[in-house]
Amino acid sequence: MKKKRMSPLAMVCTGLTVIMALAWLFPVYWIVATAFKSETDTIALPPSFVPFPPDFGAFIYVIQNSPIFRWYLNTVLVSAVITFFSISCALMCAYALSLLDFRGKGLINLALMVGFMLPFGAVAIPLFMLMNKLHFVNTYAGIILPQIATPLSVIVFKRFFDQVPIDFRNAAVIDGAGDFRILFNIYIPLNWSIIWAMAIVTFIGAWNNFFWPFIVTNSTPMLTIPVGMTQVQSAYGVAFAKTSAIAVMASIPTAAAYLIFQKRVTQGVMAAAGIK
Amino acid sequence: MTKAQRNDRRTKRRKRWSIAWVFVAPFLFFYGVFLIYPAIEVCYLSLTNSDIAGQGGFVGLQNFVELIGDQDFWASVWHTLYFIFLTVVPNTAVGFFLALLVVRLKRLRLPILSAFFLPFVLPVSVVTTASLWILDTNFGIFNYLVGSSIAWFQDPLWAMPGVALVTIWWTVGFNMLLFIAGLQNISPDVYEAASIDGANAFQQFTSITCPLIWPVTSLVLVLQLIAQFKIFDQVYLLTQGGPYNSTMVVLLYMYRQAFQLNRGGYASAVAIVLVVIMLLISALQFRLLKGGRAK
Amino acid sequence: MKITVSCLAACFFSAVAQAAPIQITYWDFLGGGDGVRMKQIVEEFNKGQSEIHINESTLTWGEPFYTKVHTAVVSGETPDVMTYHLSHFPAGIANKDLRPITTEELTQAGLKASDFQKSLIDRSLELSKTYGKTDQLFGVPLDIHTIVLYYNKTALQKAGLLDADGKPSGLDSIESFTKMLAAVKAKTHLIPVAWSGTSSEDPASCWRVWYTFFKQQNGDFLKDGQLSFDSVTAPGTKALQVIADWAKEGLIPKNTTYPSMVALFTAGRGVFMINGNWEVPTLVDLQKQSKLTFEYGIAPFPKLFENQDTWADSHQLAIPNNQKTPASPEKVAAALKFIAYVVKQVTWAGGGHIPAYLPVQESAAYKEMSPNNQYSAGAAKNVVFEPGIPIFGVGSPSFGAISNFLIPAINGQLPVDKGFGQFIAEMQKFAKQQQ
Repeated sequence: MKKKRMSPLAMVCTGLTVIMALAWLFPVYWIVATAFKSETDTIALPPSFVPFPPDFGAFIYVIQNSPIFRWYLNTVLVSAVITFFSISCALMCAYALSLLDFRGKGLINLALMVGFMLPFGAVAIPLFMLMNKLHFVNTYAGIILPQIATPLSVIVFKRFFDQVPIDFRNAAVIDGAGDFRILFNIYIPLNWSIIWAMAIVTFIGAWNNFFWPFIVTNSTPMLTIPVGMTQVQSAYGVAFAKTSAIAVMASIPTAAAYLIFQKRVTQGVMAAAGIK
Repeated sequence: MTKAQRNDRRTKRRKRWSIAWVFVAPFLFFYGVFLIYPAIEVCYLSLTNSDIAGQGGFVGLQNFVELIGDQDFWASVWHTLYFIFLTVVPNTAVGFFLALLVVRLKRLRLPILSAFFLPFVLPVSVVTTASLWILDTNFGIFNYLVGSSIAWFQDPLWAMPGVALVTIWWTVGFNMLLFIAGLQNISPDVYEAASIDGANAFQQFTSITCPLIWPVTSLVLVLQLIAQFKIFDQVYLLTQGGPYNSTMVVLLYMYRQAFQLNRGGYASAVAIVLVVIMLLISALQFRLLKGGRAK
Repeated sequence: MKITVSCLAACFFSAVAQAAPIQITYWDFLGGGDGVRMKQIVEEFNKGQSEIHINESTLTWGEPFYTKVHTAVVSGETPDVMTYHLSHFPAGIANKDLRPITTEELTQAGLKASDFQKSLIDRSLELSKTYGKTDQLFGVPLDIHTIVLYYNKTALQKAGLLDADGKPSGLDSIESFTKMLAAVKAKTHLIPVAWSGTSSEDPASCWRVWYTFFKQQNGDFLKDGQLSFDSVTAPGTKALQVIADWAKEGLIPKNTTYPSMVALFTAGRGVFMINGNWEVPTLVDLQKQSKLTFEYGIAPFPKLFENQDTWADSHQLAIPNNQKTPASPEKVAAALKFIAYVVKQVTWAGGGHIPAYLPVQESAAYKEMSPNNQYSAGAAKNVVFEPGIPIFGVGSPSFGAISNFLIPAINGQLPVDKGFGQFIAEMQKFAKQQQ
C-alpha cells in the first residue's frame, strides 16, 4: 500500500477511537481516583475528578483492618501451584495425544470435549462433597486440586505439537532418546512461546477465579483476593473509598502481568480460542 | 521374521503403550477425580434427597417432578436466557466494531488495544465493585454525568441490562482480540482487487470483510454462548439475584438450594436440567451457524 | 501432589501455631465502627494475657455469614467462637449449628445468667426450649441494638421544626410525623428521610421500620405461641401503606442502597435517618474530624401508633456445634474466657449498642457516654424482638420475601394490599417447607 496523508475522515475515525478508548478506561480511572479520596470527598457534590492532594486513609484502613497481605500470599501460592501443575500435566498429555499411539486415545479426546462444554458450576455440589470427605474444605489443596486439569491447555498444546515436523521426533528416536527427553529437549523448547503464553493466561485465570474459592473456603485467612475483597464491603457506613482501595490492590498483579506480558497474553488468548 | 524378532516388536509396542499412559496419567487423574467423577456423581445425587454433606436416601425422580412444578426454577431459566439474549450477540457485535476501529490504527494500535482489553484481566469482584460505585443511584458518577437517576441494580427493569452492560464492558476485549486476528488474516490483495473493480468502502465491507470474517464470528458466538450460560459471579456480586428475583439465574438458584437451603439432591437436579438445556441450545445454535456459513 | 500441598499448608499453620498459647479462631460479621471496636477488644485481650490467642476473621454480614457457618459445621471446619444474632437462634438451634453452653461452663468463666439483661436471657431460654429441647443457653448476650431516629438539628431549626427542648416536632402520631416530613420537604428542599430501600442489597432496613410500625399497632405473628397469619393483615397493610405513601410523596428516596442512605444523611442531604444505633460511631467520628456540616441529634424511635415497641436484635457470642471434631474442654473454656472478657468491655457500647451485661450497663462510664445517653435509656425499654421462628431473622428466608413483595409495594411497583398478601403467602410457603 502507498503511504499517503490521512484523510479527514480517517482522522475523525481515529479521534473517535481514542475518545472511546478513554471512555472505556474511565471506570478504571474512577476507581483509582476514588481510592485516593477521603470518604467525605467521595460523596461531595460536585465530585472532584482529580484527588489532589491524595488521601491514603483508605489504603491504610484496608491494610490495617483486613488480612490483605495474607490474601495476596494465598492467591500467589494457589495461582502459581495451579499454573505449574496445570501446564505440566497438559504438556505431557498433549504429547501423548499428539505423538503416541495407544488404545483409549479416542476416549480421552471425547472426554476433553465433554469437559470443555461442561459448566464447572454443574459439578460444584458433588465436588464440594468430595472435598468435604477428603477434609480439603478450607485448605489450599481444596482450592487448587479441581483447577489443575484444564482441557483447553491440552487441546492447544496438542495442536502446536501436531505442527512440529514428525522427522524431529523420528531422528531423536533413532538416536535412542526416550519420550521424556524428546518432550523436554525438543517439543518444549520449540513451543516455548505458546507454553509461556498459556502459563500467563492460566495464572491470570487462577488469580481471578471467584466461584470455586468462594465455595470451598470459609475462613478469612484462607481466602483468595477476589473472594476476600468482597468481605471488606461491610454492611455499615460509607465505604466507597475503602472498597475502591482494596479493588485497586486486588487488580495490581493481574493488570501489571497483562501490561508487562501483553504480547504473550494476546497470543495465549488467541491460541485458546483456536485462531493461531 | 524370526520368533524372537516378533516378540521383541510386541514388547516394544507394549512399552510404547505404557509410556503413553504414563504421559496421560497425571492429567487424567486430576481430570477424572475432580471433573468426570463429580459429573457422574451429580447424576446420582439428583435422584436422592441428600443434604450438602451428601447424606440422604434414594428418592427416584421426585426431585425432577418437583422441579417441573417449581416456578422459581423456571423463572431462573428464563432469566438466564434473557441474560444470554442481552449479551451473546451484543458482545460479539461490539467486539467486531472495536476490532474494526483498532485494526486500522498503526502507532496508536497497542495502547488502544490495551485500553479495551484491560478490563478482561481484572478479577470479577473488582469489576463489580467498580460498577456498583459508578452506577450508584445517588452518588454514582454515571448518573451525575448523564443527569439520569437510573437505579441500575435496584430497578427490576434495569437490573439485568445492568448486569449485561457490566459483562460486556468486562469481557468484550476477548472478542475484539479474536476479531482482530481474523481481520489480519484477510489478505490486503482482496481489497485491492475490489477497489480496482470500483467497489467503495461500504461495498468492500459487506462483500469482503463480513463473509471472510464469518468463521471467527461463529466461533465467537459459540464461545459466548457457552460462557454466558455459566453466569453466576456477576449476579451474585451485583444483585444477589434481586431485585424481586429479576436476576435470579440458574446457577445462583442452584447455589441457594444447595448451600443455603441445604438441599444437595434438589440442587443436583437443577444442575442436570441446566446442562440439558445448554446442550439443546448449543445444538440449535450449531445448526443455525452452519446455515449461516453455507450462505 | 496432594502431599506437597498439604505440606505447604501445614508449614503455614505451624508457623502460627508454634507459640505456646491456645489458639482460638473467632468469626464475626462486624464491619464499620463495630469492626474497629471488636478488633480493639481482641487486641487488648491478646495483649493482656498469654494463655489464649484469638485469631479474628470477619465474614460478610447476614445470609453469607450464616451459610458459611452452616457449611463449616457440616465440614467440621468450624471456628471456636463466633458472633451470632439472637434473631437467627431459632434457625441456628434447629439446624444444630449451635452448641449449648452449660451453666457449669458459664460459672467457670465467672458468668451467670442473672448478670445479663433479663429480657435477653428469657428470650434466649425460651428459644432453647422450643428448638433445642434444653434449658441451657446457646449463646452469651453481648448487646441489644435497635433502631433510633437520627435528625439534622441545623436543618430542622432553620425550618422552624424544632420544639423548645431541641427535639423534632410532630413525634406524637404517625399523622403528625408525616405532616412534619412534608413540611420539611417544602421548607428545606432536602430529602426528608434518608432511606435505604433496595431489595437485593438491603431488605433489612425496610423490614426493621415496617416491623416497628406493625408491632406498634399490636400486630403479632404468634398466637398462643404458634405461628399464625390470622390477624396480621390489618396492621401489616397499614404499616406498609404508610411507608408506600411516604415514597409516593417523595418523603423517602426510592432505590437507595444502604451506604447511600448513610451518605445522604451525613452529607446533610437527608434531614432524618431511621437506622440502627450502629451508625452512631460514624457520626461521632465525622464530628470529631469536623467533617459534619450540621449538628445532629438522636432520639429513641417515637411512639407513632398505639405503643412504643421498637424493632431490636441482640449480638450474641456462641460456640459452633462441631460434631465431626468436637471442641476440647480446654478450647471451650478458653473461648468462654474470651466471651466473658468481651461482654465486660464498655468499648463495645461505643458502637452505639446497649450493653447486655448489667454491670456495664449500670456503670458510670456507660452512663456518661455521649450521644448514647440521648437515646439508650428510652430505647432499652421498648425493644421488641423478631418472631422466634426459623423463617424470621437475619439471614432467614424472610429477607427474600421482603425483597420480592414488601419493597416493590413501597416503591409503587405493586399495590400495597397485593404486595402484603403475596408476602404472607410466601412466608406461609416457607413455614410449610420448614416442617
